[in-house]
Amino acid sequence: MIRSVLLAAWPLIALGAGTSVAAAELGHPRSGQAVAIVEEVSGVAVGIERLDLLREGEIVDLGEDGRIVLGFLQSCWQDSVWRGQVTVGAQQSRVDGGSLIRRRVECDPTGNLETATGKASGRRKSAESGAPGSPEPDIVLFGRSPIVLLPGPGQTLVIERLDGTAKPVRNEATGDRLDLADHGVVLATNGLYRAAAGGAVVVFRIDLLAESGRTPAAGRLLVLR
Amino acid sequence: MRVLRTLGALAVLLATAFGQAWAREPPTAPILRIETGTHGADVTGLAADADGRLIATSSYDRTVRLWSLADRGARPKILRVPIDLDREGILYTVALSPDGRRVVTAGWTGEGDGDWSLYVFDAASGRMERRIPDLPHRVVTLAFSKDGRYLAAGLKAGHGLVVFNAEDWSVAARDADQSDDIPSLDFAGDGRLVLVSLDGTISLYDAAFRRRHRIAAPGGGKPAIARFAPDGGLVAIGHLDAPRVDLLDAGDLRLVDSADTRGIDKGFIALAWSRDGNFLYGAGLYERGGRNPIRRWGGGGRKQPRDIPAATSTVTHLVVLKDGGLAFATAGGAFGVLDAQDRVAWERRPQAADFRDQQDTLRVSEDGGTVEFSFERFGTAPVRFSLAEKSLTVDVTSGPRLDAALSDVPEIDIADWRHTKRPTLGGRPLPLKPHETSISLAVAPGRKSFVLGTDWRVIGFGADGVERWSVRAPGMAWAVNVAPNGRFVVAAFGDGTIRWLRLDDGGETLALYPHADGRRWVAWTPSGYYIASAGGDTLVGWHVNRGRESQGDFFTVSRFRDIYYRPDVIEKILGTLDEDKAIRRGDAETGRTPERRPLAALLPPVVSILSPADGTSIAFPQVTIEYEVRLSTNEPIKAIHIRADGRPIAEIGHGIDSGGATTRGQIDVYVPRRDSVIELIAETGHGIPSEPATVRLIWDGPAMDTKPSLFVLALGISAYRSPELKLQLAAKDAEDFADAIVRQEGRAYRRIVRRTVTDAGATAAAVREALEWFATTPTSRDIGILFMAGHGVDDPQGRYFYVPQEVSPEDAMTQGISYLEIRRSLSRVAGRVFFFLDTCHSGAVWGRPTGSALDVSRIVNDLGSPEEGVVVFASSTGRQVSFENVEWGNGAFTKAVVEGLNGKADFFGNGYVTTAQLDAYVSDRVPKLTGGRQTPATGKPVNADFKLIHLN
Repeated sequence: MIRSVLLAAWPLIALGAGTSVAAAELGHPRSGQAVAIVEEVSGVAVGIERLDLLREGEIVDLGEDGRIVLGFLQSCWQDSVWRGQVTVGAQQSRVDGGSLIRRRVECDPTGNLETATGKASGRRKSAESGAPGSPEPDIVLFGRSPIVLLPGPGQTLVIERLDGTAKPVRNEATGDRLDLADHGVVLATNGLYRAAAGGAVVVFRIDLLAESGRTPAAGRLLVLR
Repeated sequence: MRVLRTLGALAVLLATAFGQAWAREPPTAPILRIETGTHGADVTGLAADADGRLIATSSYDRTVRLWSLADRGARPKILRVPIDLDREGILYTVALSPDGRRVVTAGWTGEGDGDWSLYVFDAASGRMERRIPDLPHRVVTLAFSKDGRYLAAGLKAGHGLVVFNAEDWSVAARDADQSDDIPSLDFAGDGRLVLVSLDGTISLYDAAFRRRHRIAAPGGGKPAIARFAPDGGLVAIGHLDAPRVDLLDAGDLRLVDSADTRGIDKGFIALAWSRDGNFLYGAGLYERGGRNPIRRWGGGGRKQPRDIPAATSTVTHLVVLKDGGLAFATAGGAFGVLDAQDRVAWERRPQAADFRDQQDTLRVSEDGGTVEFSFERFGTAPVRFSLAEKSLTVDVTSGPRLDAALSDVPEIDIADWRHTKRPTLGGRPLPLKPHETSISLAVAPGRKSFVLGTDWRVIGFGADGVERWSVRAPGMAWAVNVAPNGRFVVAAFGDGTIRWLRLDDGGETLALYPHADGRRWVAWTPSGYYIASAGGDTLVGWHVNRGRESQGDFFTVSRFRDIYYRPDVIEKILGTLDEDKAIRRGDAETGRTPERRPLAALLPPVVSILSPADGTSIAFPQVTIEYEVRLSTNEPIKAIHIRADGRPIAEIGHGIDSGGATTRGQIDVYVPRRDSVIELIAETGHGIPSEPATVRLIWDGPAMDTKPSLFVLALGISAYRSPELKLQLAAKDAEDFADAIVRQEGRAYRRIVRRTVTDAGATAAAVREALEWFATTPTSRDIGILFMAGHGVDDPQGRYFYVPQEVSPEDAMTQGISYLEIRRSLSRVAGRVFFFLDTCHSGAVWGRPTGSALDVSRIVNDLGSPEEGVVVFASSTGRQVSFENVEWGNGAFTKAVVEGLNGKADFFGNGYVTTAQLDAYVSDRVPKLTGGRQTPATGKPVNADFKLIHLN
């Protein structure tokens, strides 16, 4: 069971023109900021579901048969925990009474952080979509099927290829998050894309060695908020 | 002296009578061994697989090493046979199966009640597959048949030949009809076998191992080496006792020709044919112009020779490699490879000091605490080691007076003691064992006793010539001396150690191993309490036998640092002459709880990586690591840590089910998109980490195209609130260091984030906040650099504290920033991390007994260990003080570092500075700036070299 309130609105990774970004200082997430994404969860953990974002200090009680996989946004650690109690840290979890496998996955935390604070030049370029030439990507994704967090529920996500010809991908979301792996969307490796929804825009590149499917979430997370 | 060394190489050919018979099971108590990564004694065997990818060497140092040609022997796999404190485990030979999968070794191995053993190892895992027992005598030489089906063993003392089926190790053939040692045998491609015996005969067997011919060696001497030509038409024979190489018809052993050995005055003990049979290579006991050349004959051994100046000691073995290169091994412990053009491509030499001819160089202070010696033969360029200062220095002008050994005194008339078998006292022979050679002599200051060093022992004699005691020497006792206080014998041995023995009974109290690099050293007591320089505590470790049927384990003393790193004990050892007393006093003074657990109860687990294999090429960063963890005690596994180039990439922890003594598992990890070294380290509940298991992965995929960011935190305090702590340049050092780093923006790093915390801003709270920022800000792709300048101090237990600006000397150990806090910050940095430590500005501020003098070596060793993976640059070693000088504008260390970063460390003009280059520059520059009074120290994990700075 989760002991603290789950994030309703999380300020860490907000992206896109016109989006108000909480003043997350470049650096480690402050207390209260989202630090990890739930990649998988099963068992008795109540009130927590896949693709939720967790804050530092939150505690998840997995009981005797629960399991959770957390992807940490800044450190790129992926913690798989069985049983026991998980305390979410800024960069990794602390586990009491359970089993843990922790591994560093491929992700672009700087891209997330820079876009979150509006310091990335790529973001400005991406916002100025009419600028000539290919813009620099705001972030590199290490999976070919992004997880997209939308500005709000029920919005349409449009992904266009910027360095080649391909039919834009359109997805209508019912909630505020989409795992494109669940929708069969597989983008091209080394492709440069622009994703837009609800007025938010982000330019991203798919890594040359990215794989399709449910690869680690921290490596394919795209935030459009 | 070279002759003596050569004779050592040939000891395999000679009978010796010394020591006790070995019990059936090897001793269970851990045994201290030196381990520098190369052989520490004569290389006695050399073999290559058919593809020339892998080379095996055996040594008197009781190890077999497997060298990969792909990495030029950079990371040999070490196979350890069961050993004891006597001769068990001394290896005479090694064979490698043609497919490179099996290694067989033997020598003084598996001694039982009149029987001996061979050991068979799996080359990939390093495990001993089996012991082959019941051999009637020791094996001198081994060889696999070219098809790998048979293994032939030549035995000592007339016990002849045994051929094994390599499939099931059953005996395929025997020939006991030999009357002396068989030093060499060889298979032809068609299965014929030739062997030579020191009884002067050469025997030829057919493929069914029936002896077809036996002849007396041409010239009537002792044949030492036999090698079939690749086409099987000729056999080349080298002779031990004559400069002679004969070419015999391989059908009937008829003498066909002899190679040109003009200019050579001693025998040939190594031969090898080139793959095409055009060239014959030979080497042996001779030397020319101070070197030991390899002779090469063209025309199948019949044309004029050419000498290749390859080695600097007797070449004992030669093996031709598939690509046309040639591997060679020497009696001096070196092993190297010539390329196809006969140039030395690479060589791995012993890392020990060469104490030959240093009887007059070895000098000792009154109390025995300072010794002077040289790393080089004949005593050129002497250095000093000071136990009190915990330093090894080239400065031999300051410090206490040192005395050379007394040897020529009227009261005791000893003659003929230099390199003879018949030293005399008053004209009467001193009692030595048969074949034992006297090498060194020291008369005690009271002139009532003397000490003789021999090739086997150190012997204490009364002035009457009666032996009072003798102790086994770990190598030839090249030099002995007696401290002027008359309490210690100080002896320099052939294994590169200097040992302090009690003059009363010869009991060892302390040993020192100074590494040949002149920087690293370690000193230890018989129980393993030690002190070490930065990087020194991996030079010695514990060999742990696991019975007769298994390979031994090895744990460096650094594994047990928290318990056995005891400068306080070492300081007391020469005063107490008794280790137990020194420990008790040390415990009492430092408030430590006495450690009652035996070392065997603390042994960490042993980790192996089952796959991928070492040197595997990958083109995708996700890799499945299969591993095995074997427990050494009943303590369950607490965690398994996986690192790439020293930084964490995965961890398996909390509640691991050990599943018994051995656990296997696998984990998918992401590795860096570059060549990398992956390490696994297991930890049990008692917190002592395993030795890392490593594999090298070769990146064959596209490179990552994004540059990292660099985060630098520079802390420097000059303006302490307490006037007595005031420094001149520490804050400026921090600023200047950060400035040098910031110049990198846009070059190697896409962004540099600089933070300096200095002087009044460097309160304890501010430093802690900055360390937290440093720990949590860099991402896994980034670089973190921490620089600290100012005052540091150790508490009486040797725990370090960095002194913040407002903290007084009295409160430093309660309000300072503890080493544990600093380590916690460094270990949490996600990316690569570097630590520059310049906090030894004045240990004298604290002095004793308030706090012990700052000992930075432990910090360097701890952070630079595989578990922490931090690259550490420290301003000084041991108890040295760091110097600053207004004329320099910086402290000596920072000045050298900044110079190096600004380009002076780019020795090759490549436009970048690596960490290794910076280390080399700073190591050279700081002693020059300070007149040898300050020596920086570096600690770094495996594969830690990194292009830190780009100059353009």
